[in-house]
Amino acid sequence: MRQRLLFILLTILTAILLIAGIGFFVLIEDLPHIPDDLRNLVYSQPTEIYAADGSLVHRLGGRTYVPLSQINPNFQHALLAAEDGEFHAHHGIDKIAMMRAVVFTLMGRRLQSGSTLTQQLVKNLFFSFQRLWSRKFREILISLQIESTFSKEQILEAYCNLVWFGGTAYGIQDAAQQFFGKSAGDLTIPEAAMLAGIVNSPIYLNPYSHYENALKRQRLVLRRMKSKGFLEEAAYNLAMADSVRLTGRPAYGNDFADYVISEAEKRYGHEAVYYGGLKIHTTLDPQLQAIAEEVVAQGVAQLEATLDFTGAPLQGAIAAVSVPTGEVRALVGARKYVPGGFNRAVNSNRHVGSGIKPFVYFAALENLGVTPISIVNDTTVTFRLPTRQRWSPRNFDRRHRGRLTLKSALMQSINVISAQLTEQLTPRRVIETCQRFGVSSLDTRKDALLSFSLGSAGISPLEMAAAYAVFANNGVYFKPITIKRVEDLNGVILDRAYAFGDTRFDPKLIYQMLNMMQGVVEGGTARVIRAMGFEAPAAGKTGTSTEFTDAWFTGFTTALSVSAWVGYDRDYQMYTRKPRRGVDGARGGAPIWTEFMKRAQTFYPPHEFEMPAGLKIWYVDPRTGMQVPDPQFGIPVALPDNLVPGFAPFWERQEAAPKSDSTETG
Amino acid sequence: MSALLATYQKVVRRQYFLICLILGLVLIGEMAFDIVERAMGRYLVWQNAGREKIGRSWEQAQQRGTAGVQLESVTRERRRQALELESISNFEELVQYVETNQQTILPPAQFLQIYHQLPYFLQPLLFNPDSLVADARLQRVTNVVVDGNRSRFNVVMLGSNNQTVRRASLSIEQMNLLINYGKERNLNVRSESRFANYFFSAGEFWDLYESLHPLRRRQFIQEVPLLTESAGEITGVGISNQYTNEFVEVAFAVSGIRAYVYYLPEDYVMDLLSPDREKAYEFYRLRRQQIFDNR
Repeated sequence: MRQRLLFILLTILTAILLIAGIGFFVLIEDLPHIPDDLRNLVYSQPTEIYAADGSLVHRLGGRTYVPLSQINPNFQHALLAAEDGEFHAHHGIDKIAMMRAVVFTLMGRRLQSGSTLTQQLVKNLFFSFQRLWSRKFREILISLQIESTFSKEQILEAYCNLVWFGGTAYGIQDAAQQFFGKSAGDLTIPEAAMLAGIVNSPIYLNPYSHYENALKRQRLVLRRMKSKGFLEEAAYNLAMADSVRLTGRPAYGNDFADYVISEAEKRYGHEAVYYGGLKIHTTLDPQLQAIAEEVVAQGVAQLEATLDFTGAPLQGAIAAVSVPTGEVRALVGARKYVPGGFNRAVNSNRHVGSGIKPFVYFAALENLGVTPISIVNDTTVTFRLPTRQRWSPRNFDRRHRGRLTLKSALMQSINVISAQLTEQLTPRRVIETCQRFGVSSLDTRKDALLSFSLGSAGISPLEMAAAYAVFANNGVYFKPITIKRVEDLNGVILDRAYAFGDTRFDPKLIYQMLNMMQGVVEGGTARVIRAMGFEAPAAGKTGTSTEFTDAWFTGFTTALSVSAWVGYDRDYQMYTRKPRRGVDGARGGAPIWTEFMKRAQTFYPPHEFEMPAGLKIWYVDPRTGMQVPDPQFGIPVALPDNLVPGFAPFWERQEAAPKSDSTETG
Repeated sequence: MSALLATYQKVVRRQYFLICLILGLVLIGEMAFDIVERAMGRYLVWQNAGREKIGRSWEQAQQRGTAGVQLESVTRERRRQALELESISNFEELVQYVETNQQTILPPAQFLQIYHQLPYFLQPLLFNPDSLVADARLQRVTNVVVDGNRSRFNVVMLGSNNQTVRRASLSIEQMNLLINYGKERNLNVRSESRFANYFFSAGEFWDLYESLHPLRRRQFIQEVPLLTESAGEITGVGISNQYTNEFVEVAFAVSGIRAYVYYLPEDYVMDLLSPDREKAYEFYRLRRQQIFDNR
């Protein structure tokens, strides 16, 4: 009986050893090579993105490496207490913890890790985070090798410098700097305990977003430190009583930084940006960016609350460009930032609706010899398209106003007039004009349709903001720039960009157009801006795509040109519930634009637009273009010196209408 | 038989004991000294050299290497551009450089050197010389940014805070004027219609030249180096009846199909034509007509 038992035992043992041996040799086939110095793998210079004021906006990869001697022993003890109490006793694996984990896992209870610090280091260095048995065995084998190659101090040092603390904080030095504004050597016991606690779950134990969780975890770490003998009773009591003071929130990036990264990748290549240790100095204004993020989030949420339920989240975007330099100051591409998410401020070319009209009207001023007081006729028109079909553009409010001035037509965003002008100019010429304004996403073949006059083409908010800035700049186009300077890791400047203006248009014509766009804000479709309390000199244009899928407002002061868009990613219509009506530019884009500008003007104070020599302001009747004796009965128009509007006969002057009371938008 | 069985049982008992003893010792040794881990660890260290550099960190290390190569190539390119830029000494080279490298930053001294190489009457196409004197006195310009393509050329003078101090934009016509000034070209002056009204043989031209006021002659010598460098080669001179940006195209034929082309101010040409009053008047009238038409 005993002999049989012995035989069975030996057989099982032999089988286990055989399987283990085979498994061992199979698994070591694709184990990674281990370098002689772990620093070779751990150390990496980060690429850093800076705002215009020099503050750090984002870090990509990389970490600041510090030797163990410069890491406060408090943190070392806290880390060991929190993550691996038997670190100095085991040889890479904690057999008892591991067996416990295996039993617990086999029993179907909560998955246990049982990983030592060495195993965690190995996992972070070489393996994916997939929960696979084969990965676990390989991790164990490499841990054994690491323990046989390096001292405990070297392993601990590598771990401290490799571990992720959330956001862009990789390694203890970056974490200490970002959370407490100090070096890893200066951490106090409570701070060290908090950081050591974060390692377990950098997202759910992040003290900025989950302070209570982080504090609870810190207390647990302190208790373990005491039980492991790392803390005396007195020090423990002091640490428990002490509170931690967090510094500024670590940089987590934003849509602007994401755009800069994509631009830099195009210029230098993916690897150079993520692993090259570049220093990228940008044009970002962090204060403006913060305002923009807040305003978009609030504005979109407020609007969404009034809309029909679509099941999809309403989205918004804003792009702000400095008028005098063309430098992009803020970009928000979504109501809530998602790292690497879809950036609607630059990548989304949505129908701009009537936002295209300033370019159409400007092309008319430039090529058709019309002026802001030229009389146009808003009536039913039918165009014969090249496809031999007939097209009759409709106004936003489905009614016609008859004869009126060009400026008044723009103020009321009359589609028929825009279509008539485009027909006379040809869509191709209007597109070419847009291109001279810097709108590069248009295609002279694909987009050259008569419906282009009503904004059927797609343009991004950034392009719109940069193009409208030309009006504020007296006809000088500044290519929007986000990257001012790029340095390599030795500080050598690789690229430097300067604000660079290209004079593309006659300042006198541009000012006449600007004056017409001022009318949109003062008494036209964007009057809501004044109603909301924004009083600085401004001009712009609302835009609404057909079926209310996009609502825009793009406008500018002398300091900033800003484009705001709201809409759904899918072309769902935006209708308010009570009363049921479509969301247009004045209700969608303009409120966001106004809130942003009201807060931004503190940092970017606007002043009056400067009228070029050779122009004069006249007050005219918006319907006849005739001078009015009293400015309150007319609208101001900028006209060349040599053009004097006529006087209306006395009896007509008596009937002169006050400023337009139209509520239509477009 | 029973003795044999007893011996066998004894052996088995001893083996059982021995095996258990060995197993027990191994277990205690393992728990106390991590024998298996150490042995496996040593073995893995021994065969480490033959293993591949795989895994997340190695991939990142490889990407760092690639990044280094990419940045090295960028740095090399920038160094080449800087050297090329340093060697630029005239407007044509600058335009060519900008066409390939897009936006370019020049130190003010280098830009002024290029600027001064232009004939003085063409310099205002870029900047008014007086304004440059004012800038120099106030030391306002720290960088000159040049940008453009074949259809447009922009020059912006920037101050210390990168604010624009002065800006100029050249049209394609103006660029051609600056680039082609004094260039030898394939041009049959005698047969080109635009020179037909005002074509002079070499002898006729020299007579006209001799009749110029000495100060004007000196200006001609200064702005038309051909007159001193290759005067003997001139076979004829054509004056175009068309204006290019206020300037008159004057072509000096050096053989049947070759000519040097200069763009001279109207007063230079009027002075040259003045001995033949009829021709001078006709030229003047034509010019007025063109100005009127342009308006």
